[in-house]
Amino acid sequence: MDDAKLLALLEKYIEGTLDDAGRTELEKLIVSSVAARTTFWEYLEQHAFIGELGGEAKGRALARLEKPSTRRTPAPRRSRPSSGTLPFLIAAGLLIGFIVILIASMSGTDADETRSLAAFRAKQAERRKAAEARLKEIEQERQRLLDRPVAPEGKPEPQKEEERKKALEALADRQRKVDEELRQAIEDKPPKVIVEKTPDAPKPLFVPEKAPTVVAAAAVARIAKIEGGVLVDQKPAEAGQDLTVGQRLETGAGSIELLYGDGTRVSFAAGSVAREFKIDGGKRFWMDAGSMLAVVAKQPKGQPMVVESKHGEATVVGTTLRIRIDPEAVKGMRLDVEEGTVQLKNRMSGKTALVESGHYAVAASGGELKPMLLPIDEILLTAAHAKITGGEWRVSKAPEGNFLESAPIYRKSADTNQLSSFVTMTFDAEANRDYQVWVRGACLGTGATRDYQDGVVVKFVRAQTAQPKLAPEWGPFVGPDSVGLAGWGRFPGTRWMAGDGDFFEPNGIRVEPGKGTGRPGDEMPATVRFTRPGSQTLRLFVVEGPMRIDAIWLSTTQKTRPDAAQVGPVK
Amino acid sequence: MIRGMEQDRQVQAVQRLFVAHTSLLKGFILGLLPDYNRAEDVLQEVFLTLTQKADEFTPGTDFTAWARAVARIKVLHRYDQDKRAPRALCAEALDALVAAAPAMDESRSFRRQALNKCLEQVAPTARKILDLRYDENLAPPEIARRLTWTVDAVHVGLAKVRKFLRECSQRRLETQGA
Repeated sequence: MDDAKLLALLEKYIEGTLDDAGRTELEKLIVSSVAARTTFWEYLEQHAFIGELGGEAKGRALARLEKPSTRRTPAPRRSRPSSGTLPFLIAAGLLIGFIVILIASMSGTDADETRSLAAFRAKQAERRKAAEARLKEIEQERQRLLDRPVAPEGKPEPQKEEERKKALEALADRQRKVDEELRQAIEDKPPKVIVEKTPDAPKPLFVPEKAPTVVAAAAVARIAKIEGGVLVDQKPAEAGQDLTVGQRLETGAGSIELLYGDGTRVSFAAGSVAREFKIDGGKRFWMDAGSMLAVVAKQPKGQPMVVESKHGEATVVGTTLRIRIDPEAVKGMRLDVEEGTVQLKNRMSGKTALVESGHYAVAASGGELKPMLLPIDEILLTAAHAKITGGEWRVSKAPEGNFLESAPIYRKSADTNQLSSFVTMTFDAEANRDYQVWVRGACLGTGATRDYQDGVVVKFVRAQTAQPKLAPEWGPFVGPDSVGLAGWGRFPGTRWMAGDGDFFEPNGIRVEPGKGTGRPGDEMPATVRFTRPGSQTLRLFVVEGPMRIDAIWLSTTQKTRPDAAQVGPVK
Repeated sequence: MIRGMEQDRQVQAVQRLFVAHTSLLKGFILGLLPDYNRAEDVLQEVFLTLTQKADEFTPGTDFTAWARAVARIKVLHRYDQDKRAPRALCAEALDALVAAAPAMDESRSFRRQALNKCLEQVAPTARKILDLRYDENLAPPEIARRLTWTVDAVHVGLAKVRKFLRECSQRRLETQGA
């Protein structure tokens, strides 16, 4: 086996730059050679270790900066680290991070034990590290003493030699002591009882604990938007005000949006009551009533965002996601996940369910905790969803967001199946529902011929479209699975279109605006109905360009033209 | 109620095992899916799945094998979901790798310690690339932009420093063994 070749392949594998030929070669080596498999795991284990060790070093640096956290009335403890648990938790990196997740699902005593064990291990690692550092210093000092120059004639001066011997002996003594400390640090076992257990006072079922007593209330989030008379701790709240640890908010007939330091946004609708806001160890709050929508940034390792209610507990563990919770007394707690992954726990049964993107689940008394598919009402496709084939389209940048830009093309007639350049978009949609097709775009042409620089065709796979009768010129372009859109050239700027914006008589004869009984074609939106549920595909073709396309919106609800400023469905 | 308490205990036992094996599992996932962010997501999914299926685990049996089987499925699922990511290795290669994956034994911590020592010996420029690649989790093109290098130069730099670390660790382990 050629080790250098294998390492070169593994480098590309790690960096995600392996091409098909390289992948085949690597697969062949792995399958045929035991040595290759050993080298693979050595190299990939090293890749994992570098990340882990870097993370731990960073954690230790953070831990030194971190102040001890404010805690609620602590139980008396033995062996409790004097500098607080949090720094050690951070220092222990990923491993300890997961303990925080564990703590969320354990009973109080178990959680305390786990926390204390983690602190013990972290402390043990710190002791070992400190001892190793001292040993290193001793060794350097010993080398310095041994390297000290002797007298010019090559013979040691008796007095200095004596001093050096004494210094070396003292060093050896120090080394023995540090060795002993190091041995203890390695061999020490965690005490059998790390936490002095105090009997728990009986707690009423389903009543959350009281708000923590804090010395100085720390800011949890800022109130980014507010409408109506929202109360925070029974006082009228204002935009720009900080929401602090343990506060309670009540939206009444109003609404409020909170902005966390990491960009996470949580909006509470009218009729919501939420309290117990915390950020120590992860964002957390309790909802008594109402509904909320959250756009959650990726959370730090081991610090998921947790939303609790009487019926359930939603733990946000995935990447960026949206959740909506309706904790009504009868219906329980409903969790809709639009992006990412959330864990929902039913407090009654103790069961948990992983609710993935596009699904919902309800935690309710006696109800089954089963993730179900969310209805897909609105689909917004932008340049971010686009895969471009051929040279007629490109993605262009603008301050308000990227858009698709077509070449200045004029096609009098063409079969879209024969066109070699198009934009492909894939998305999920339901079967057998009518989606109105809206396209937000603009004609980029200038001069008198703008009317001939403003046409596109959207062609769907495994779908049936319906559109008011188009002018005969559209014939070759638009089949029973396609929609023809045009008319942007009549207007300046960006505009939503749902068909041909020219004016048509009911019989499909194009007329001048304001003449006869003609109506703009895009006031009667085209619709598309997919024949199978799940993943769908569309292709966008330019018929007359240059065109700018910002978005394609498939909607079950939007039946009239949206305002030009609107960029998609209103959440 | 008793059954509920039993289930809770089982869940906690599995979660404790997960915590004890987190580093090993993450290493395993990174082997099959070398991207840190995606591996981290898969690790979290594995945690949730193991928690959900805790009652299927028999204490005393091989937790690592069970967790790895779940992780393998999650990794393949992730590859399926993420069309932009590089393709997974073929099933035959994956099976061979899974069978040869390192165990949770003492030698693992020696390898980790040896690498830690070797990291201290890395030259400042190489250290910088490692920090950007691993601590800040940047891809080579972004590292190249930050350092005003070419992307190829970053790839070469990363390969060199990883090679150095591998050789240095091997030397250290051989010395310790002797």
